[in-house]
Amino acid sequence: MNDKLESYMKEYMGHPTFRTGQKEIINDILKGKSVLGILPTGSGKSLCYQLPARILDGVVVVVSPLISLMIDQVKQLKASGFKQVIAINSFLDYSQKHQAYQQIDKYKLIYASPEMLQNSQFMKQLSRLKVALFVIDEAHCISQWGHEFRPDYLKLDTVITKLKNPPVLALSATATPEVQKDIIFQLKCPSMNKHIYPMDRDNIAFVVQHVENENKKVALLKEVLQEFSIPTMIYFSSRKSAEQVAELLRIDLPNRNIAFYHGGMDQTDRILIQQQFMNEQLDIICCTSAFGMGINKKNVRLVVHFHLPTQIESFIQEVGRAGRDGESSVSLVLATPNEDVLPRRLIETELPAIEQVGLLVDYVIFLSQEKGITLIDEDDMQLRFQLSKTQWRFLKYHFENHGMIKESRILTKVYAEWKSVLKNVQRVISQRNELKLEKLSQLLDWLNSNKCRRIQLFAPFQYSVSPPKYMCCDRCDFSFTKWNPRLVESKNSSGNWVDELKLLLLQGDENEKQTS
Amino acid sequence: MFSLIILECMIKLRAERSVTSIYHLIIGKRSSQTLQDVYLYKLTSYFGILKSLNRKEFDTHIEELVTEGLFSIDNDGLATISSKGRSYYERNQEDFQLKDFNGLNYDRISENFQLRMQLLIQTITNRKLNNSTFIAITDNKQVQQWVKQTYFIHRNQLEHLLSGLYNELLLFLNGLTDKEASLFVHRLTGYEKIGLSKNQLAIKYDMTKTDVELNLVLINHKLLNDLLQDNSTYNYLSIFLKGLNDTYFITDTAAQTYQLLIRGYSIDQISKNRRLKVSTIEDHVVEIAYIDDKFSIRPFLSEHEEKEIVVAVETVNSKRLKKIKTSLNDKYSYFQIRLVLAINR
Ligand SMILES: Nc1ncnc2c1ncn2[C@@H]1O[C@H](COP(=O)(O)OP(=O)(O)OP(=O)(O)O)[C@@H](O)[C@H]1O
Ligand SMILES: [Mg+2]
Ligand SMILES: [Zn+2]
Repeated sequence: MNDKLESYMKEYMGHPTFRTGQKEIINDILKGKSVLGILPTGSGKSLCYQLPARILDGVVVVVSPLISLMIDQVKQLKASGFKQVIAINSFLDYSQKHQAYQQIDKYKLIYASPEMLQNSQFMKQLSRLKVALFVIDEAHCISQWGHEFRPDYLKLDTVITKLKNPPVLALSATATPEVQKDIIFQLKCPSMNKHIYPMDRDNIAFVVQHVENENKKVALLKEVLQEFSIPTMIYFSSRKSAEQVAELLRIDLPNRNIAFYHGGMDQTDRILIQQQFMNEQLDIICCTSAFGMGINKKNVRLVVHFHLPTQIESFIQEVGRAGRDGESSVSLVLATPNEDVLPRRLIETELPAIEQVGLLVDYVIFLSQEKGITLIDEDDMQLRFQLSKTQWRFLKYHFENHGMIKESRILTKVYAEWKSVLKNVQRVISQRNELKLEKLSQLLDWLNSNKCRRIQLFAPFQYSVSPPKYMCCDRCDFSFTKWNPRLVESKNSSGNWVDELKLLLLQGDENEKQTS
Repeated sequence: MFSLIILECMIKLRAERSVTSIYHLIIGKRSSQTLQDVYLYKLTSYFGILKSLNRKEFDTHIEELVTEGLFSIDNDGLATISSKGRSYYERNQEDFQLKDFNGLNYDRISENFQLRMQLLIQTITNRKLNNSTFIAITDNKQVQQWVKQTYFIHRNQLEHLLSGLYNELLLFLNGLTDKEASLFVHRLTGYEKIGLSKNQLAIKYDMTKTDVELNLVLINHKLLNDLLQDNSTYNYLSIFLKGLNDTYFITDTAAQTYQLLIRGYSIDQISKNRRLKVSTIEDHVVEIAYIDDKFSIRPFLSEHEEKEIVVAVETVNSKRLKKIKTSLNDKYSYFQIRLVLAINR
């Protein structure tokens, strides 16, 4: 059996050996067992279902929270020669969906967004198939206690039932023991085999540098980048600052190729920048969290956090882009004394404010009782109460859950009912905000602690960390002067357009060929 | 280039339409109102030439131009061009070949044409060097499908295809300025060489991102102009046009109305049948009147009535519907006036 697995591995995936955990997980899956797999970032979790997809009789369905991540993976698989894969998400238009449904039985691997799994038409198509494995990638999203709670992930247990209870594989790189328990509970899969591996990355050193203000961050960044010509990602919490710092760096580092990337760019430009980075045409990329999840570049040596995310889990995910080839890499955090301000604001604006919800409910009661209106104008609501899309979706989800509205129809106008639901929703909001602020303070404490960064960062997840392969952290042994990563040369394309065009279209110069 | 185009739009709109309608025009909004403006004020060439510009960016650009003193904008969003603006326009308008823009005519083909070219070049250069693991630079499924088929047809003559494209592109690009040619070439993706983003081009050539996009579109339109005029010189580049040239512009919903009109339904019937407002169906009819030269407005107006409106339009010398309607003592509906404007454009 195992020899056979190894030959499948070579044939389909082109890797000579398995990495830690892969074989164990795949063996369980092939035996038809359900598995919870916790493995570090970049360790090859995708292979744990991509290889079975080739082998199993039936289709493998993967839920993934980020559409861009899904699309990137499908592209990579197709480029590597595996064509029977597709990503189904709300971006597909009617005819594309229709076409996909018509040949749905041709696919071996189907990626779907959690929203699509609530679409009855799509589910009808899926339930016609023999689902050999149901995969939940980034499974921490399922947990109330996870950092990226997604309401649609909560309904996955019914999806699994509708698909006639296939074996389940839940994967994550950042799940505390509490979240792990919750994943199993929410999926109603108590018999899952647990394959929990340490989540730390032994080839990444952790460094925090405290500076007075943002200008000093830029100055420090320039120094480091001047010294080390290596593939680098720099994370920002706003599009604007990513653009601005990219500009500042470009002026002072004229020999390096620097660009920014964020969700506000158009599709083509995003693809171009991402591919330039993969293709070593870019050395330094200033990005928001929109970049990264799908990025699987092996030799990113340095991941800088110019701004912090809101919790340790996201931080670990983002740092996880570094050193996916196992070579010595560094996570550098730049922190000012006010480092909490931005993430705090992000947290506070993610869910609607408590008072806003009160006003909104009063208004709905007014509409239904005084005006006899039964349909909510969703756009008007968002405008009137200054709600973001996410905020409105959150409220709608909860109102629907309590049976107060359905789609945009108001189901009840009883004052007391609305008031009690209001209390309930407000309680949820303040609980979640508290939880998030607590998570934020964990990360902030980490910045200011004197203990080993590695041990402390992973303490919420596991008891111990493996010994670092290179340097550990700035509290233990790290200094930039002792670091010797392999430097890369920045490509530069100068040439006039005629030469460029010639090169591009592979028109070798006959004369040159003869003389050389 | 952006400022010149805005100025020209303002001059032609004669302060009869707001700045917002200019925005709708250049992003190519598919609405009957925008289409009518485009025909009425002879701005077809700029329709949809800046598809990716969002409203915020547009507003910022406009504010900058106001600060520069090229024009001012009143509370209704109507612009008045200053003498500075006017002389700026007259001085510079010759430099750029704005007349080569062909927005409305190429609306349905321009982007597809460009994407086909980019993806085919990426595909054949990679295949030629035996690399089949590259990631397409466009997600457009239709384009991917087309490139797949086209590659298959030519797979045994890649060398010819490459040198043919090279020669023809060289010929075409030699007719452009150095800067234009460079923009075009650096945007292309080949084997292990990914094209530059608009932002990168903007930095490299010290332009605004918006002007980069305008330039790329203009170059593309120039190429299309050349190809459609004379496709005997451009055997290879014409490949990218296959199946694209015969689509003409009409919104999909208006096309449906048109089908029903042809079958003899009245506006009221169509409105009931499609569950759309009468005014919406009227918008469609006006749109059709602009596009189809053979479309007859007789069911809606007699010849005599048409003449009366034409005279009124000439005397008030404006394309503002309200003015025209008042001068005719409200004898005709807006719909009837719009129809007359449409066929007498
Ligand atoms: N057995 C293996 N041998 C060599 N390379 C491997 C092996 N398994 C996976 N890889 C490579 O490791 C890289 C990372 O894999 P993958 O994207 O699946 O990581 P991941 O665990 O999902 O990470 P993340 O938590 O960041 O999503 C890929 O480039 C993959 O090809
Ligand atoms: Mg993964
Ligand atoms: Zn340490």
